[in-house]
Amino acid sequence: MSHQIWIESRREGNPTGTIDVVAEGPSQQPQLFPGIQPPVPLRADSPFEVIYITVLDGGYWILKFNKPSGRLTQIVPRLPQGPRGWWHELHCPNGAGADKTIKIGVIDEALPHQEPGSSLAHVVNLGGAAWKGPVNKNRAFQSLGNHHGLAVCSLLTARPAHPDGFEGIAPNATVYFCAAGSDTDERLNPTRLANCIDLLASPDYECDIITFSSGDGDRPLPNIEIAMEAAADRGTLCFAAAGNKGGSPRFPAKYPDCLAVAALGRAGLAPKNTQEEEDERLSTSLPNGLFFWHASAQGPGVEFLGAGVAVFRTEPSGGTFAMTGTSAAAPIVAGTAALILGEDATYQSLGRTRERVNHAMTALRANCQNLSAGAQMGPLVAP
Amino acid sequence: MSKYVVSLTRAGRRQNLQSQLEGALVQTKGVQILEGFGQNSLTVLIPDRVVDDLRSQLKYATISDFYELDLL
Repeated sequence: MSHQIWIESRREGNPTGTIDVVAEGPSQQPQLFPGIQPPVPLRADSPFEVIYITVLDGGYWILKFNKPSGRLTQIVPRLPQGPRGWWHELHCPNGAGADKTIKIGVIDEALPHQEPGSSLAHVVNLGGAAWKGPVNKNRAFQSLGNHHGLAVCSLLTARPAHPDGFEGIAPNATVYFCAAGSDTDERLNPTRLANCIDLLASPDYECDIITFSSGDGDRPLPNIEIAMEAAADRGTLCFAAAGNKGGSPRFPAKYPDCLAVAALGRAGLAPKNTQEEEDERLSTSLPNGLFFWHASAQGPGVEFLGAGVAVFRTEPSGGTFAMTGTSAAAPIVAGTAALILGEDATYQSLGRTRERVNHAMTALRANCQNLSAGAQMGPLVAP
Repeated sequence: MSKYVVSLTRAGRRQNLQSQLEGALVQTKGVQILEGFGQNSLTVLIPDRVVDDLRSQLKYATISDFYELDLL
């Protein structure tokens, strides 16, 4: 069956320029229609299930049309401008703070070398320093997918050159990046992840906080459990994304020494015909104008909630993009924890033992607002 | 032959048994360490028929399935 759709989309505030369209059908791989000059007809052998309209260089919402038919006409709306977004107001209403003393380790797929002047030039990129064996360490600097490591680091600590760009939640923190990407695709290798935790918590780096945004494993990962336990014994807190499949946190987020972070959003933010608008519609309302993301892991095992729906990151290229997932929530909560602990003299006076972790947890919980009770007490959010 | 993750337990870490673990693995016929030399966590190729024996021998190590984690 032949199917035809006419698309007419222009950028808000800028009627020129090209827009890419991705169409997905029930029995076909995603089809890309690059460089669309509207209006344009799309033809396919089977009906489209969904069409995405994307301005690839960023700065705009991604439009999403479910089961489209006929003629689609919508101006692609601009994203808000930085440097601070709704999640900064939620988690650090008093500004960035003096948090240089806190050392945060980020573990993710890969992070490219940054040029001087880049918004992430201050991140110490350890690449594949935790990889021991006959492996290609260049992989540590090359994403095999969507540059997830770059996105996570930008949310955590970006210092964008342009004033409209969004800064990270903890732009002043000392940040180390350790790659743990798989050799074959955009996922994490479990051996590298555990050894990265060991390295970042070691006396060589003494990270106060480690955060990683991967998981949803269905089988135990004892090596990662033990690495997090050993890190806690050295005074290091480990935050992790709780998971994007609903239900309870899976491995490794469910382990006792892992602080699982679930995702929430701000109601009324997203324009019509966007994934984020759909996310809000499917989610559960929370007090204070927030909602609990419908796909987030939840329940026992979740330690904190963090902004994770429609948060905006500005990458070193200067492009700003919306991001959703517990991957976003984990670095935002880890950065918030750095802000709190950076002002805690007692915490900083403690030796690198589990007592330091216990004190940190007491301090972080004292800074939590419990949304189920509707009380506003601090910048962190408890489930 | 399958890929596994072999890791020192907490007690094994305290006793710094990394080299002892590597020695026990390489002395087992058909076992090949792929990554993690000198570290607490290793990627190892192990013949399926010897996995259970290794598990029972290595009291200070865990052996678990190797699978990669999704980015979230």
